[in-house]
Amino acid sequence: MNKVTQAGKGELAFAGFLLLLGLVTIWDTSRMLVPSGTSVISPKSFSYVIGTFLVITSALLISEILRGNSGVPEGTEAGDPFQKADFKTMAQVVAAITANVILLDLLGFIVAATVSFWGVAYAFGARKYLKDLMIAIIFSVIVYFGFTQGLNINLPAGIFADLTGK
Amino acid sequence: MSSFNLLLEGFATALTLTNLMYGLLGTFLGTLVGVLPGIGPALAIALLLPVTASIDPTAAIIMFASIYYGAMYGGSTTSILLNTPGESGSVITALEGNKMARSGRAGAALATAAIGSFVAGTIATLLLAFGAPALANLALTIKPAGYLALMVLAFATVGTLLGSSMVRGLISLAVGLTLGLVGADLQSGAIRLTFGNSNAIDGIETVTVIVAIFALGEAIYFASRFKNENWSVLQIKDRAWMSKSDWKRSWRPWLRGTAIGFPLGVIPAGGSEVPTFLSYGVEKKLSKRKDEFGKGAIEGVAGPEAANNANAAGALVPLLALGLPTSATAAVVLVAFQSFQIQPGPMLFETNPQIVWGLIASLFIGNTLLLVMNLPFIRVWILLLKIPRPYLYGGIVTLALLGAYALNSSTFDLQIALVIAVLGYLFRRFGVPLTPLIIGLIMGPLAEVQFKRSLQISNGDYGILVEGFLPKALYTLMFLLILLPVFYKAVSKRKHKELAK
Repeated sequence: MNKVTQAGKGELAFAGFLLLLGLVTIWDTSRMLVPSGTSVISPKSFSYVIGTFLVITSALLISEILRGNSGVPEGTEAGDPFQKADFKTMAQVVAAITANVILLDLLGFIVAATVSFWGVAYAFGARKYLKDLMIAIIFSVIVYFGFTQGLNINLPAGIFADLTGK
Repeated sequence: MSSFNLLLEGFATALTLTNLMYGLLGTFLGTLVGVLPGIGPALAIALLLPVTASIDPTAAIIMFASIYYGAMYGGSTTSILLNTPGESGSVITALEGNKMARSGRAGAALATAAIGSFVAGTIATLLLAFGAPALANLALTIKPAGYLALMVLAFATVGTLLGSSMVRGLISLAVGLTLGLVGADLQSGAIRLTFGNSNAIDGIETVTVIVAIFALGEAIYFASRFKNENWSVLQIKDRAWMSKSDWKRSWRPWLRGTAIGFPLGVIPAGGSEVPTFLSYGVEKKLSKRKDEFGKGAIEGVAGPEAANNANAAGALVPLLALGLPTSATAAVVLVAFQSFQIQPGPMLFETNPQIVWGLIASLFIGNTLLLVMNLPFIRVWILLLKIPRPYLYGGIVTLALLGAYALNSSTFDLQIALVIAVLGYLFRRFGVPLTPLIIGLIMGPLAEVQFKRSLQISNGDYGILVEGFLPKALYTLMFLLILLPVFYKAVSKRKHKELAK
């Protein structure tokens, strides 16, 4: 058991989560309402198969990790020294994405896109704040009008609803 | 009508002014998005899916064919000129191509990649034009249980061949299949895994998952590890053309690459990693200048690039004839078809000949357009590589979120994208391959249809699933594929132990 490293613990949590997901799938299937008049084959059987498959593969993954075979992060080799993840930068990117998801309905596409563009650029080291912001705004405005006018795809106008005539 | 006549009619469809313009636009957009570092063909097509939503199906499918080849082409440019491997199929190209570019032969590397892609693409598309209808004809006789067996075999190969660890490939597949369960069941209408959320009844949108996992997950993963790594774009110092000796050294690898790439695209070998790798190995072995390999051998670009393109065309054979995608990119093309209510499969050649032959013809046209357009314009594409990384990722993430939203104008899709993005990060972090998830998500519901059809025929007797020659043969093949490596490993381990004594 000593083989499990710090990173291995994280992976165990990941595998445990997937195991749980499999169990939830089986549980959800068991309480599924099957509409009357369904033919011979219940829609439950396929779900059970998939849920069981996920449970078995997660269990195998857990046993693999416990035996010390941790996953090799993409883009690295098996023998590479362990590199601690840069959680700060990561959190900034996730925050920028989340902000976009929340702001889209509240303030419209242009604001949401400007925030996510600027936020991700900041996370990746852009520090000329004003220039970055201008580029983010120009990008968002071009994309907005390109999609809404050029391709007839509806994007929320939000706070600019009066200006854009929607 | 013979395939040849139908193909001519396809050209008539593809060569109308409107469709030709869409083809041209597709090659342009495909190359543009494909050149951007970090965007592979699958993501490029998924990102461009909303763009085609408002146009006529035939034109849209033609545009997709052009995007497909364009994105492949753009990817090779990136891997030659940038010292970072892009998507998996171009990793091998980067190996020698990047070395060539460093020693001032970028132009020759780009030229052999472009011309090789054209040669391989043209030959492979010809094979596709005659092979796919034949396979479709054959497939008309396959029963639901046989179909299910084919799909299960595809699951098994995609799940076990990719990545370094079999368990992790299967985990990825299982998660994809589970995501595919969400929502109302196609036949009975029973609702699964929605937990009372009415938005989830329509299921999880495939495009959302692809965009989230390939663009957002990638951005998060890069932020966690490679933020400070430097990218340098190499200059093209020579003319983007080949010398006489380059031609002499390139044509055989092109043909061999095609011969390796096409068949491995037809069978579910899990994408372009295996064929490009094999082609590289073959060229290295056959070359008279082995010492040049690793330092920039043109054969090492010509072969794998041809294999990559022939593989992409080969993957269209099972996709069009059986409705079976064998790579992430082919899976996205399937989604593109489905978004126009067209289901690829044996019936496609009967029900939508105009679309299918228009598509095949436009593959030829797109391929030619790419050759004509790209070598002269290469310096324009390179400008794209010079976009500073913070802006590049800002743009990719924002466009990906737009892509996730725009398909259904749904904020729920965006929330799903956020969750899948984190999952995409975790998969990369723990070395779980992504392609099996995509295949499982798209094919799961289709497999369920065949599963139920089989059981309806047999009135609920599970025996029908292994009845007949085809299912038996396919399942046996599958078990051999899975068990042989395990068995081999055990034997060699034992030998090691004995030797140690």
